[in-house]
Amino acid sequence: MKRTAVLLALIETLAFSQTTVNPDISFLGDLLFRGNKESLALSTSGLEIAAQGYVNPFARADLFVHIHDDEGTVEIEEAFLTIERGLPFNLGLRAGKFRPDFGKINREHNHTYHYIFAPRPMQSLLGEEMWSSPGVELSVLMPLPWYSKLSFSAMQNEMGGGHGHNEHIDEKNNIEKEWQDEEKWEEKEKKNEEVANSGVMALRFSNFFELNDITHLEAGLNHYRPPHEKEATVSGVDLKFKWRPDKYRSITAQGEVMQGGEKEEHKEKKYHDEHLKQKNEKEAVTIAYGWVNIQLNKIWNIGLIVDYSSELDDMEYMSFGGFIGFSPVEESSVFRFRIQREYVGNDKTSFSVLGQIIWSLGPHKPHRF
Amino acid sequence: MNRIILIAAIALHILSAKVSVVTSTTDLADIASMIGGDRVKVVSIARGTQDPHFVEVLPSYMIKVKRADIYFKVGMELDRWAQQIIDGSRNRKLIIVDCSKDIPRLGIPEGKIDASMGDIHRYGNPHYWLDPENAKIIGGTIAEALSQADIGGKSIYSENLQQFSEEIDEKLQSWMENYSDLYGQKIIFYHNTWPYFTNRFGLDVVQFVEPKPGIMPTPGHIEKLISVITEQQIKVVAMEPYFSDKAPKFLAEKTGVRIIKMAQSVGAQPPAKSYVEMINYNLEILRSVLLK
Repeated sequence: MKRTAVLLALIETLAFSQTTVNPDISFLGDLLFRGNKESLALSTSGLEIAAQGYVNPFARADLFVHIHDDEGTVEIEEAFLTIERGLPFNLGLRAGKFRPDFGKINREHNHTYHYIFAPRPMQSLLGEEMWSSPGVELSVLMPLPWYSKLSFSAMQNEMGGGHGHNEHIDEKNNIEKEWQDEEKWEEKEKKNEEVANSGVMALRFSNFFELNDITHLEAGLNHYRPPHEKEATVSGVDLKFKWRPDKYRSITAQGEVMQGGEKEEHKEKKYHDEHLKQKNEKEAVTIAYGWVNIQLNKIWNIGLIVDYSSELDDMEYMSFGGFIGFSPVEESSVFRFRIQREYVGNDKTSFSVLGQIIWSLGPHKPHRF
Repeated sequence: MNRIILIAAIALHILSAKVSVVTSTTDLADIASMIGGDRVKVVSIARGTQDPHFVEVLPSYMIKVKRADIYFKVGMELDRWAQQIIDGSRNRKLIIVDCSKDIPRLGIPEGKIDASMGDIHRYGNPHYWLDPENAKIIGGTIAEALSQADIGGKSIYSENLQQFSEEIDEKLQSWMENYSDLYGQKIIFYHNTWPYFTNRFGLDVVQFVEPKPGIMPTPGHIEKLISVITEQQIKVVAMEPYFSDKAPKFLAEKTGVRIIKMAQSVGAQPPAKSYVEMINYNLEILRSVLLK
């Protein structure tokens, strides 16, 4: 009887959620150029396919699939259900695989970056393509005169994992060479998997202030913690400022600072076993980035970016860069260019030039909302 | 005794509470204020000086909608951004009204449409509020929604609608008489915002500064415009205040054509303080340059 009732309820839900129109479907592709003293390379990060739409009057679904250029790997970046107007007490819910509400950059899709790539320290913390994991997120709009939201995310996988694109493949190949002993390799993989799937939680408290009609400030506090590992806790703040006097011109500044103890398992991914023994101590790592973008008119923008990590691959890291963007037609195709100088450790510096052409087909554009 | 006073005060507060209305644009806000009168409190998301196609979705707008009873959309894909604000508001009781629902539509594209045609609207040109006849239809839609949300005010809304429609009829008659000399005058607009307006007042639109909707003018198109302006002796290029005037200024330098900034919405220009004043302003500025 119970089973029949559940089945009937399920059928009714599915029937109700049938839509008569197709979702918005978009494709995004790119061409990347990277050059430095040693090499010049053209590549593509692959193709992103997005399908977005309402499931029923109360819920919408978003799906982002990334077909990587390397070996044609297909990855579900995000696939989640959002309920925003269907729950009481100003609650909102996301469920599925998604990028949790943690910091600013984690929710921003890669193709929206004016500066082409996410800051390396953030990639090191969140993952090369940011932190996405199966999970559930509950958020509440606080009863305050301004926009204030508290989000709680319970996620299956810790950050820094997920698909590591080129870096992941290189790392795996390197480690594989050194771990010739298959048994040891399997043991390590199993251990890594256990760590990655241990379940984590993230909190974010964000506030949006309309300073006047054209000036806005957004401030957020973030906290991340695996349930049984205090030492892996990460906390941070983020700020975003925007001044937009008219339709075309604006100045936007955004920055984040995160600090946390890097746990043993993180190290394990990065270093070989012998190295690990020496690097076992738990130390707080501070990472930060900031950028300023000036939208000069409808099609041109310029900006600066700086990022820092007190420890990236065992050394202090800092980079400075400048970028310029050109989007001639409603951001359906964007040309970006970036130069950067990186400082690793005390004396290692490198200079590189990056370029990107990105195009979109459909309503999901390479711009920010 | 104290309890009775408290209950009475709460009841009075509930009875005197205004219907909270949010609209996508200032035009809908002005019409809603006229229909709602003292019984409604109206806020517009877009300012009159903003391009209603592209409004940046700010979380603060969600807070405005969170407290609202009704949201009036322009519809026809003009204010697509509104849905994100509505969803983000988490307001489960919000009544959403599409003001385009009874509008006789112009410019519905035929055949297959795609992005090569520019920023084209599948359901027709969405700038329908610029025909005063359509303002009456919008008024009717707003009155109907307000009456559903606030049954006690139904007769007032109906009375206000009647007054608004009469005022528009009266004004329209005087506009048609006083500005009849605009009929057949040739003009170039920046963007295809004005078909409802030009249909009503009989202007002849020969070209647009944009080669396709939403696409910035190319050198080739500018060259074409220069020859059109010269050959057809076009006197005026009219544009909305939020577009870049670089290309129109170039045309003015090359041909001597006059550039005017029209009010596509209430508040787009200082004299366009209300719906009626907006139409007045547009007709007056057109006459001042076309019939000089």
